[in-house]
Amino acid sequence: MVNSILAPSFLPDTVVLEITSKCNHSCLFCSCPWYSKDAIIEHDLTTDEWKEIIYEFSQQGVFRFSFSGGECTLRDDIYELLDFTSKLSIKKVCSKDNDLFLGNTNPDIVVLSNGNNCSESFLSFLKRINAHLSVSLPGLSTFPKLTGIGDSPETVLEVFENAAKIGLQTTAAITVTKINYFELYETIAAALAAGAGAILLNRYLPGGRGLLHPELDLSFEQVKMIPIIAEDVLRKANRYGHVGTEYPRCIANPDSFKNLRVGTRCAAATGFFVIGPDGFIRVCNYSPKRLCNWRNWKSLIDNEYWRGYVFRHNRPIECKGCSQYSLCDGGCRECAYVFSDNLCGRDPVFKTKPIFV
Amino acid sequence: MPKRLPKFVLSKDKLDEKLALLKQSPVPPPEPIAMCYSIALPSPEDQKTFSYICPLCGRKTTHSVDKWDILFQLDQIRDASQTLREKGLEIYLDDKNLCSNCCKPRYALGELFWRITIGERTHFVEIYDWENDYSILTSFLSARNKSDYDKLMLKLSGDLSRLEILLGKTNG
Repeated sequence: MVNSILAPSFLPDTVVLEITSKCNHSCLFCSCPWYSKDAIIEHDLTTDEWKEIIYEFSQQGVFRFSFSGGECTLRDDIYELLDFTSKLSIKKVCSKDNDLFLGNTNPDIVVLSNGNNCSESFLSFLKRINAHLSVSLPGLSTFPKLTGIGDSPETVLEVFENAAKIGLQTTAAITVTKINYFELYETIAAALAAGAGAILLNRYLPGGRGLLHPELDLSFEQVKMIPIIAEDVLRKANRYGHVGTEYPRCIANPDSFKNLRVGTRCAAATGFFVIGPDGFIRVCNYSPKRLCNWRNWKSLIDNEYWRGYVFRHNRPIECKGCSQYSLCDGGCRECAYVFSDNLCGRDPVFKTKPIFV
Repeated sequence: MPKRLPKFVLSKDKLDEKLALLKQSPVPPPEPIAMCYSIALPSPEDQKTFSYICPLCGRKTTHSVDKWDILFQLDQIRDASQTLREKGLEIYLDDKNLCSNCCKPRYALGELFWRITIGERTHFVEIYDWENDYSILTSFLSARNKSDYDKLMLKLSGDLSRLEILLGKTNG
């Protein structure tokens, strides 16, 4: 019996492909680094370049491809890129009765969208290629204000309904800000009632365009209440969700939640990594730090910044001594970097509170 | 005061009613998806394999679930050794046997060791119960007076052998 196998490469299982920097929403909270003040927007890569990237990483043990942006459906070649990816045969470490072997399989595909271009035919296409669709729903009454468009959330709720009708798996991605916090319960409930299969919650963290909007900053108490509210709705609906943006354990203990999975450790560089619209690799979508061109991905193995994430040299010094130190990253590390220019700095949730609470 | 919701939005009561109905329908399996951020520590029941990145060579080894307990504790053991170093003992976790590339041929994949350097000499001690090792070494390194040593002896139940092995006095 084989119970350990050397992986094709050191890369994480998942790559997020930000295939375009363009978007048809102007979300106030958007953390895409190219929307921050003074950032330069590079040209998007071509279809062939993206295919080259996808093929290259599919041979390196990456088996989940998340298409994002900007708004990925704005690209004319979105069908072509998704179709190309779905037909790849990749080598993946598989397990049967605890025995590991390298098997051939099709990659997992995730599409992250704002829902605007998710026509019924697009949904059917996603169903056909066995993709998972994640759609952003930042509030109900606050939707127009937060997304910067005059539209209502009905479009997104309809996407969930239409997807549910054809059995396409969906997730409602809800970014919680000070503005939509008051209707968090209703937003989660509306998404589930419309047919969303799961909920992904991200607390707002200042980055990208969000840096221009301090009015979105959540209070310490609100950050604390978010998982409690979500758990309440999810239990009532017998559904599941997870909190994406890692929480410090002193604010939310994952063991207290049954239907909501609360992450307290960052998955950047170990669970996933990002390739930006210009082909540069970053540890996560939130990060403004471009590490190298995708063609030089092998250099990441010695990249200090990357290794800081892999081996967790980025935890706050202030947290040392906490009994939960090994199990927790003390909040979002990349946000600490953006917020204080220090990867081992404080998550902004602690800007007015002591780090031990 | 909560703001008024648009007309098409259902009231909280109505939504609760719908949620209760939804509760009766089958639950789709939770699917971990790659989003902006994802869960770093999936629960074992959700996963059949786990990855280990070797600090020496940087390569990734995929392990089956039977190594979950070890992999889950690696960070805790690394942090514990860091704390012990700060107390004055040059001790490191030697986890290269978790790496298919670096594993020493005569050892089983997954065996963990302490690498301890005292003076000129470096020795390796196999780890069976790292928490116990950490506890006795912490007490030993922190002991300042007779009362501290008395407490440590109580902790050791009079058996000094593990401490001596850790300090390279015997081979164990």
